[in-house]
Amino acid sequence: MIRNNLKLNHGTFDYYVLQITPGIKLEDIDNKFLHFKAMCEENKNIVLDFSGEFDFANLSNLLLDINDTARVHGLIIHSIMENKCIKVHGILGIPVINLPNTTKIPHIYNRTLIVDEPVRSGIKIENDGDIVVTTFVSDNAEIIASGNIHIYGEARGRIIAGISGNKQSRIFMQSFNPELISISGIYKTLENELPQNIMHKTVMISLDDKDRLLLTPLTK
Amino acid sequence: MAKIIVITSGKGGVGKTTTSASFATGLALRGHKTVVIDFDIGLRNLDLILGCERRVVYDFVNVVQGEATLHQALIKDKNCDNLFILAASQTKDKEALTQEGVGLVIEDLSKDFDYIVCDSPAGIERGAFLALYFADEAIVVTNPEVSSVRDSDRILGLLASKSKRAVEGQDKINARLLITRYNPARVESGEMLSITDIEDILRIPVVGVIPESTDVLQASNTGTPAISLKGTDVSEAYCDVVSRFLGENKPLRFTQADKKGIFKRIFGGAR
Ligand SMILES: Nc1ncnc2c1ncn2[C@@H]1O[C@H](COP(=O)(O)OP(=O)(O)O)[C@@H](O)[C@H]1O
Ligand SMILES: [Mg+2]
Repeated sequence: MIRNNLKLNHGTFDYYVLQITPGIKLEDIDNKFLHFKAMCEENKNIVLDFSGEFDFANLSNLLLDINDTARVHGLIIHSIMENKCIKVHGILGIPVINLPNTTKIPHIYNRTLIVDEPVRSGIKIENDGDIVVTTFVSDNAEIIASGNIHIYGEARGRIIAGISGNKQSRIFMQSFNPELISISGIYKTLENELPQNIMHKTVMISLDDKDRLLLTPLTK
Repeated sequence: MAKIIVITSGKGGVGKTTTSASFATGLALRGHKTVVIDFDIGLRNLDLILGCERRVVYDFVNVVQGEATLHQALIKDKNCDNLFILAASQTKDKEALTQEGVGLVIEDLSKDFDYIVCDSPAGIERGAFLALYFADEAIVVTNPEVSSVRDSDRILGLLASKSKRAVEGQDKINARLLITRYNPARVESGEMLSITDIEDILRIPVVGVIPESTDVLQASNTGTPAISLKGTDVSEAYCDVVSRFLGENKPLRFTQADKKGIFKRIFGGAR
């Protein structure tokens, strides 16, 4: 049974989990490997998930057989999933891993994070996507997004948009007063040289065609 | 069930202990059975300010570690029947307090008292965290200067994210701002932040403003909480804080510079 397909490192490697229950026949496994191979050419890594009661002697034999079968199909037994029945570090040189800890949370792009609490000094908010802050951001706080950032209260602190290189990202602030702004790695610190026509005004920040930070007041 | 109030700030030397002593005394004088706990393990200040340092036999750490009962460790205030003090230990190290141990002590105290006032140590580490963890209400003590305000902001962040109420998803801790060591003349001359400047940054309601005054030093030298120095501005200001805390509406006082004072100082004045 191809139970699920766990993505690691957002799509660079796929691992397939093969669930094995006591009494499973080697020919069934052989059939499944055949099926795997047909389905996906680039990914050859299999994670075994033993569920149920196996005695250790049987398990090693079974594992040897599965390993041989896999090799026939050009597949690799990458590891064994840790669970109730399997708690040792490795069996026959195959590592036992705890998948929930080794997998990263699946990457979801463009998900908007809405923050309703004030972002106080020393707090960092990060999101792969947009961030909307409905209250204020304090000095010495950080807002970091791969997408756009909207701040509807006073915006102090370090406001960093397009962190993974998106030059189209923009920052919107209801009340402009940040320590630092950045879009796609291009940044500007704002100490005392703030022009009065934008201080505490509603401002949009974007990159122009020469990769310069552009501050546009949105109110007259 | 007692209401648990933490007096906190992030920064040291801003007036937390001074405030804890006066605020707890004020609540007790209004007839509420109050206990004030010193969380500043290793420093022991509160008992000095309340003038009971010679009566400390067992302390907070002894109780948390099961070496003494609450009954043995609670010190009754010399002037006020409703006030009890749980002193900090000077000799034990900071790791002596555990979250579980503190929780049990607070649970026990909750049965007998109306208010539990927790005097927090400075910093944002363990001691300060334990002092705020169980709180229902917070009084954030701030001086009118940038570094103090910023530290208060961090503490407000901790209250909103790391306290028991936050972790368990209960109603938020009600946090109020107390501005202490306020010197109106230095505010007007631009050397210090104004009340509005501070409110603008922290955005929590102000529960009071305590003026900078040499009376405070005088009070602590004689083991009397500042609120008990009848007739002084500081005492009046702390009384107002207690009233506002209990829901009364009191306008802020002692926030304007004494115009004559400045005049005299500028022109040398006739002494
Ligand atoms: N309103 C005030 N005016 C003048 N001095 C004050 C005032 N409040 C506190 N102090 C002084 O500041 C110092 C620190 O006060 P304390 O209450 O111990 O602060 P914390 O507990 O925050 O470290 C003490 O010397 C105290 O006398
Ligand atoms: Mg103190």
